[in-house]
Amino acid sequence: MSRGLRGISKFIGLRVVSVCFTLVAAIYIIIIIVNLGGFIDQIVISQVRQQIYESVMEAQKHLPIEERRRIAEQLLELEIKRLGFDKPFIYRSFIYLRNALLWDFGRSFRITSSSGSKTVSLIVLERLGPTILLFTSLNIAIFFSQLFVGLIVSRYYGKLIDKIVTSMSPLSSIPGWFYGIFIILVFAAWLKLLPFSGMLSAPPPEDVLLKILDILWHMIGPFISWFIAYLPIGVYYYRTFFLIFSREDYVEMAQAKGVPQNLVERRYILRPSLPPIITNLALTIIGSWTGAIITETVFGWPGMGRLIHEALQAMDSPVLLATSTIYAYLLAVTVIVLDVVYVIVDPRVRLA
Amino acid sequence: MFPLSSLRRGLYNLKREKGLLAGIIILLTLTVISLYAAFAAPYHEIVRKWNTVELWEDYPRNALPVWINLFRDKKLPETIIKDSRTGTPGVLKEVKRLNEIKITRIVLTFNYEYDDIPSEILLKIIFTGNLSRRATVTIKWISPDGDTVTFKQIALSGNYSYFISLDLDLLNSLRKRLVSVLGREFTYDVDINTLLFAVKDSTILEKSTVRISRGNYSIDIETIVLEPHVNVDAKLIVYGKVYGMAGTDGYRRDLWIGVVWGTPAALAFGLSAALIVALIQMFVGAVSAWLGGVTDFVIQRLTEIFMNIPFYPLLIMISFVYKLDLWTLLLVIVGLGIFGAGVKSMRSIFLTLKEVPFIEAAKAYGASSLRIITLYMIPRILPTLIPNLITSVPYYVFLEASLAIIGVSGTLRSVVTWGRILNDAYSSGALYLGLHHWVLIPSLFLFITSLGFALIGLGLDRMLNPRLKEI
Repeated sequence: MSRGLRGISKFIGLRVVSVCFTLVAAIYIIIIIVNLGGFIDQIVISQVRQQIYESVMEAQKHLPIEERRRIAEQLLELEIKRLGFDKPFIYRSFIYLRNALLWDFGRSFRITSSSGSKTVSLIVLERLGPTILLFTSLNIAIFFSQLFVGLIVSRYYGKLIDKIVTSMSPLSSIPGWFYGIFIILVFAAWLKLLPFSGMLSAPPPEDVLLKILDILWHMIGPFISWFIAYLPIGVYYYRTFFLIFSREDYVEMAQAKGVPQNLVERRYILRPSLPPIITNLALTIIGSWTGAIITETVFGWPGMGRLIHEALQAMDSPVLLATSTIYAYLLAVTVIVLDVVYVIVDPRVRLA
Repeated sequence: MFPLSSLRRGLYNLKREKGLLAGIIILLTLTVISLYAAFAAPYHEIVRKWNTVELWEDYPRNALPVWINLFRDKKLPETIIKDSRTGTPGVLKEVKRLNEIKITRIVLTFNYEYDDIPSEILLKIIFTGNLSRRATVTIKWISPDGDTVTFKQIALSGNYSYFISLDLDLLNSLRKRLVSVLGREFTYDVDINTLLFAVKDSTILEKSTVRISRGNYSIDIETIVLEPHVNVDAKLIVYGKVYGMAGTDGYRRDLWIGVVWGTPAALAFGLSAALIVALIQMFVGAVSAWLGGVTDFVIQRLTEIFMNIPFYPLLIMISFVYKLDLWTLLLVIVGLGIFGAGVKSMRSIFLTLKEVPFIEAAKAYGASSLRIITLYMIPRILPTLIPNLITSVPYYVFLEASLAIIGVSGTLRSVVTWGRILNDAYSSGALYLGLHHWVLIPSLFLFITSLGFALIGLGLDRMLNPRLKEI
């Protein structure tokens, strides 16, 4: 038992270290690509300039404006030299990397957090919660639904239900947010059953229980659109998957032995096929972050996706950069979590 | 090249897969539309026309598709244009000379048989020749019941566009006149179009009981010009509420043209992106699996790093900073996709293929790596590769569309794409204004295109997937 535990912790430890390296490299590449036009440099310089001007204008009030401006420009030049702007970009890129890893993104141009702060990391962190709430629950719900509906449908190969499920799979070629637009049109604008946007109604209910229900009500729209978009292909995929696995000889043996059907499914079909299912889940979740951004925009969900949209409209570059970095963190965390689940599920890893 | 039996087997499978057939039909239709669009108007023409506002002057704004009248008992009007420079019926032009004075009388008559008022009325007065001294213009409106109203009498020194529907003085005078005749006030804020086209009895006072006076309407323009060499012409545009197969947008552009011109863009972009990314990922996966060792390790780590980069936020930022055009966007997507997730799955397939006996035999007879990869491995990977490729096309089409909808795409200033039309619709508040056709019609095209590719991809997958052959 302890040998297995040691095996697991060694594996997890290795994976965490590996993912950390990957994360650092990924963020570094983001910084390099985005700064190709001097983008990040511009952000930093403008932030520095703003700070210097603010402090000089206030502190040296007794001097005439031209004098203050001259001082500010001198200080600015010194700062530019100090921050290393006269050296090639490669030096600065590591400073940016360190800041990004420490979640120090400076101050935003225009966007403020709900408490009025312009600290970018605060702004983004505020939005992290709603995003994780919505999309974790969405992904988990869809994953389990795909799995179990797929398992059930695989029992009826060749029958009508199977043909219906198969023919509905092309519905998944269309992303969830696209259906979302029409869900809003039908259910919010026309039938007035669902809210138009947001996570809470305005004003939000006082009682905690009512607040939770309110949030759940707002989550119905995204749930419906994502279910229409991602359930069909998942059901089709798992149905095919379980069809193939149910033809293994050990399954036949179990059935010949007289094991009841649902036990056969659980122990002999589902359990051994879990590793590739988990891998598939990982890829699905990673891929869903993209669709998540536009879904949040469509449904007005106050998460990071909508923050990106607001940052685009306000031309607020520090916030844009910060959200991309934090998405990279989210991806890394997702990979680690799923690797841990994989390890628990796949016995071969423990014995390595 | 293929033995006849497998061809016959293929056709039998095709008949069984109705979804596949439907998908192919959809794709062929879209290809025909694209070819038509590409030949009817070359790329630069499309860019110029869609972005030039003046070209669309004669089109109505926010018009619904013409076929909507089939579902309505109260028929919406189409646009009526009468131009004195053309010889269309209903144009009457008389020119009288009195020494140095030229009196031109233009009467433009049209028949109005619709059940709803026009959206706008515009009268243009065009002078040809040098007009140095002012011309006096009198404009009169004659309703089918014979009632004549003088709109305006003005002195013009050049070409003049008279937006009849926006003339507030006219609105007030017409309304006062009618109120004094009928003896009662209006119960709503009446507009000029109603005052001109509705039956002038008590039904006009309630918005719900307004009836349209059908028959011949005329506009009488009398111009007195003090320079005989100057020629006067008039153009009357009675803007309708329906136009074309798909209606028009808020900028008066024919949406059908926009949607048709967006088809080749969508198809070309989606197909090229899917093809290039799939092929590159296959190649990288093959190299990684075949060469093994350090190369494999490096490529695998690179893939993991790129998979950790949030593709979409980065794409948004790059688009934001560089305003990517359709083709530069393709370049960026390909660049970011080189080390994508597909490399891992391609590599695992190639790894299993590597150990197959006939590969060993090929190595034994001294086949080069290149020959083995291209002649033996790649044909075995195609049944997995091709369905995935085809199913990924809608993903790229929607990717481009979503960038346009958010508003970061460079196509917003150049090519028409369906995503761009949707972006225009959103920024003009189309859904709130009830202009559903502006959103629904490009969305329909997006939907059908995706469905077509998905049907083909999934159908091919069912046909070709070796693991399914056992079932």
